[in-house]
Amino acid sequence: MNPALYEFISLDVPPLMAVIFAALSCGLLGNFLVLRKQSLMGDAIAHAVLPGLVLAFLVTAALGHPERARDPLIMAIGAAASGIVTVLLIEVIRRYGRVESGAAMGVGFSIMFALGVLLLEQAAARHVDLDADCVLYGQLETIFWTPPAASFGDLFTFGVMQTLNRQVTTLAIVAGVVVLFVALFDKELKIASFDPGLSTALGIRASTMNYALMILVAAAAVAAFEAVGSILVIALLICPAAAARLLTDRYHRQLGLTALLAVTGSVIGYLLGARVPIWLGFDHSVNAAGAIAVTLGAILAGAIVFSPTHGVLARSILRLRSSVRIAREDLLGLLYRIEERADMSRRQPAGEGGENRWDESLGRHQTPSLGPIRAALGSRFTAHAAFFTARAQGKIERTGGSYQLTDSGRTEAKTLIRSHRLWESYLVRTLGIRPDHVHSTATKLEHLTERPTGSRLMPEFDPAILADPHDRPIPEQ
Amino acid sequence: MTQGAPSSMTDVAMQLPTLGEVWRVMTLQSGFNASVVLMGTTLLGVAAGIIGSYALLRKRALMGDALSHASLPGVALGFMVAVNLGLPGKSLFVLLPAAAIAGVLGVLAIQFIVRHTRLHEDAAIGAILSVFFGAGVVLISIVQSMRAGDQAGLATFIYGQTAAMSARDVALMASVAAAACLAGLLFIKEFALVSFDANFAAAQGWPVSVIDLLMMSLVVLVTVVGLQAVGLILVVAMLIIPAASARFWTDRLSRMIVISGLIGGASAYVGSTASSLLPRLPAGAVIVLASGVIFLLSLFLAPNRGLIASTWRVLRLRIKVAGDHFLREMHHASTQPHTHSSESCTIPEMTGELPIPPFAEPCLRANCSKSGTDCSHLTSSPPPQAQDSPNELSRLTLRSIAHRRGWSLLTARLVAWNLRRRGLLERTADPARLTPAGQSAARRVVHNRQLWEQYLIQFADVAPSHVDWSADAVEHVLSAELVRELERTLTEKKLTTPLSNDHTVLRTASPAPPAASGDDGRDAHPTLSGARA
Repeated sequence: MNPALYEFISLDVPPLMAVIFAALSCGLLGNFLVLRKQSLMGDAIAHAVLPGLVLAFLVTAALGHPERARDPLIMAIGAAASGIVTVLLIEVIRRYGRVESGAAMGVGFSIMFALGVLLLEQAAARHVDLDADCVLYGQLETIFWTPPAASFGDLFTFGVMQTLNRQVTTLAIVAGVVVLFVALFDKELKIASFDPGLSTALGIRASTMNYALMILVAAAAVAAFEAVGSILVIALLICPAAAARLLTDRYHRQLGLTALLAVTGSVIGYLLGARVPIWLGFDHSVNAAGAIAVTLGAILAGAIVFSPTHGVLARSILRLRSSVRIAREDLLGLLYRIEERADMSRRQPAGEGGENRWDESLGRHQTPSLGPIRAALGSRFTAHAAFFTARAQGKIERTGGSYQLTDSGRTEAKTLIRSHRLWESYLVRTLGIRPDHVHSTATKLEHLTERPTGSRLMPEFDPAILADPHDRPIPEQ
Repeated sequence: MTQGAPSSMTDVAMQLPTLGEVWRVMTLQSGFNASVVLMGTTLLGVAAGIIGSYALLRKRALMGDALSHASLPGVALGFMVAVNLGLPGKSLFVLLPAAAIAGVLGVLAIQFIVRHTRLHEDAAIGAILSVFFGAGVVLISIVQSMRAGDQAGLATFIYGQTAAMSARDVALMASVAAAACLAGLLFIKEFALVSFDANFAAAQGWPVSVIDLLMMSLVVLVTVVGLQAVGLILVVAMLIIPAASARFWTDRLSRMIVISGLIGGASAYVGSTASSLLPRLPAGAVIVLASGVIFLLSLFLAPNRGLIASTWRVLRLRIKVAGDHFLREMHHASTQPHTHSSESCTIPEMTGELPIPPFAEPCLRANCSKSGTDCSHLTSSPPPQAQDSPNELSRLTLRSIAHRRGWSLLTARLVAWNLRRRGLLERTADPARLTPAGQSAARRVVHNRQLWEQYLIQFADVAPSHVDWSADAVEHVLSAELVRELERTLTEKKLTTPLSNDHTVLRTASPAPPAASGDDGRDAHPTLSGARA
């Protein structure tokens, strides 16, 4: 076999496999934590399996089976026991001690973790090769494999596979169990996560599902512990699921996306941490577990900013666009009202007070001045954008220092004012709201009224009524 | 766990210190450095206890956790900056501000996520905490490859190591802690206001965001100076655990702060003493465990909110409720209309000028049936069934009571024992018999229940078939005044509505043995559901 390939297989493949299996199991389980708003339970368990793990070590060592100290089964039992103790402790503190749930978790997991640290120090003195630092950030770099294989094809025989690192096989088993659990209890998990009450009423006990989940989280945490460390476990539990939560609204897509993001993020993170610095010519690689956590964080940050539906960017663009649209419509409406007022005062002497704020802010000026208009349109930016778009679309034109509606602008403004005044009439006549209270509601609704709704408002009234509650005419279509 | 260890373990067995050594350390006589560390951590414990109380009340307990984890990249970056500036790498004047900045950035990131995305706070805290910590781990591994400065000390920020602190470090920690204590006590009114009701505080014109910021910066300060001593994973415990323990002992904020400070100080004192006396006891973990022990003690033993006290309270209520049910069963057994005493059914103060209230109806019915006329206009319900022992006044076997209530025989025995202790049941064996005091107690129980049922039917518009459950929850906690009030109201109302005779009121005022009956004694919920009240 090619020596470079052999080196890759023995140095990089085992940590990569460990990372992929850890990502798969933690990522999938993390979904349920995030959906059930229990992410911090994952955090607490990841910290709190430590005492169980160390105790399992110490007990097997004390019983005279130091060679079995790392037996995955014993480790899993210790960790699951300690995870359950933590969950119960937190529950007791929260429910019977009436302590707020965040604080209860803080109390529960820090007591357990402190116990773990203490036991760890004692264990370290007894030559048990557990290291406090590896608890937090794992020892991915120390996992290697020297397969007794002469050729690439030999790798896939059972005998050669058996020599694979114990951490990797443990993680593979846990990942298998998790995938099986999620696949078998698909329906149950779904209903228990979204509606625990309904689920219990239907005979799927939400609390049982909850404990099953917590046991699995503890098992995944402990399996991943040695290889990737507890911090990365937390990152794997939460970040991919949270990112997927921002990218989709469908449950199954969320599960798939989480697995995908977790695995990709972990592989990229591993390469960034362990390989890229070497390729770039540095003499030292950086901590791979940390690099994976940072990569997962970057993926989450990317989802937060760029998600097409729930991303900050998409949503602020949407908000900006709609505020510019509303400002533009307000501008047209405003100019229409000014024209209307000028019209009316030409016909009759001005006198009666205006009911809406624009009338007041603009007073009885017949020529619109830009200051108050801009003030009425919100921020400077939206005001400028409103003027700009309205002019670009040929809805308004500038003549001699003041703005006027063009014909097409007037048509659009009429529709808007019509919708506003129809809403006002509807609110007053049908809902019985007082006339001086309807303006602000109508101001919001007028921008959201599609033509069909607008025409549906119409038959509510006597067709003879052509004016709104403030005696302004409702423009015709 | 490890007592039965093989002989290879003996070489690392703990050397227990002598009492003299313990005393010397505890009274600050064991060398300057140890004493300074002890005083410094104790002061830190007090400060964390005080500030933690506010954080707990403001529901920011886990914010401290995120803050401390997020400070790791700051520590590492601060180290790099310090080394590049030619300062000693572990200069706290660079490291701590850097840690604080990173921590605050983490908190701001959490708030950004909560405010601007659909993710909830738990996910935001978990994500930021792990990602920042991961970044810190990466940076530390870079620092370690720099081979500059004494980077070995950086890892102590994770688990904390009091022994590694110099006297100057401790002095810095102690002075910051003292300042935080002082601020926490000085601004008690403002902090209390914002912690309990931020909206009210804002409405009153207080600068809530400034106060909040001050509170948060005190949390940051205490967290950051505590990093070196107890480590960034466990420092949050110093904030939360003393405060949560103190909450069990009192409902007053001022007292809670004092107790929390005391618990924090005491556990820090005990923790650092133990850590300096015994090998391989990391101070941070011991401090947290010490406060954890105090917390568990508080959880169980606190007088009012403690688990034992509240369980005892619930148990007593249950016993009382069960006793009430027992008495009622005895009463019903003794007052079947066809068995006895219908002739003594009189309602002295009611007959005459007032219209006959419906709760007197059974008496009328009894009198009516005695006189041999048609009584069907008075009742629509079937005649009561025969009882277990119709001729025994107030006697009923425990077994039949247990059967009727759905209790186990043991429960019935316990309840009977308790009633005997209270002098309500005669000390004869099965079948039980009520004493005179027991009879009047039983009458009161039945009376109260029926009053409440009447009230629900009359005033709360509850259907007669539905009052049972709700009355069950309330009847046991009616106070004497409330009973009088109910009697008065129901009499004034004159009760003109026709009622099913399942719900009739019994007069305790009647000197003769009461004869009203009707409640057939079988509740919709024969268990101790009343205990919920």
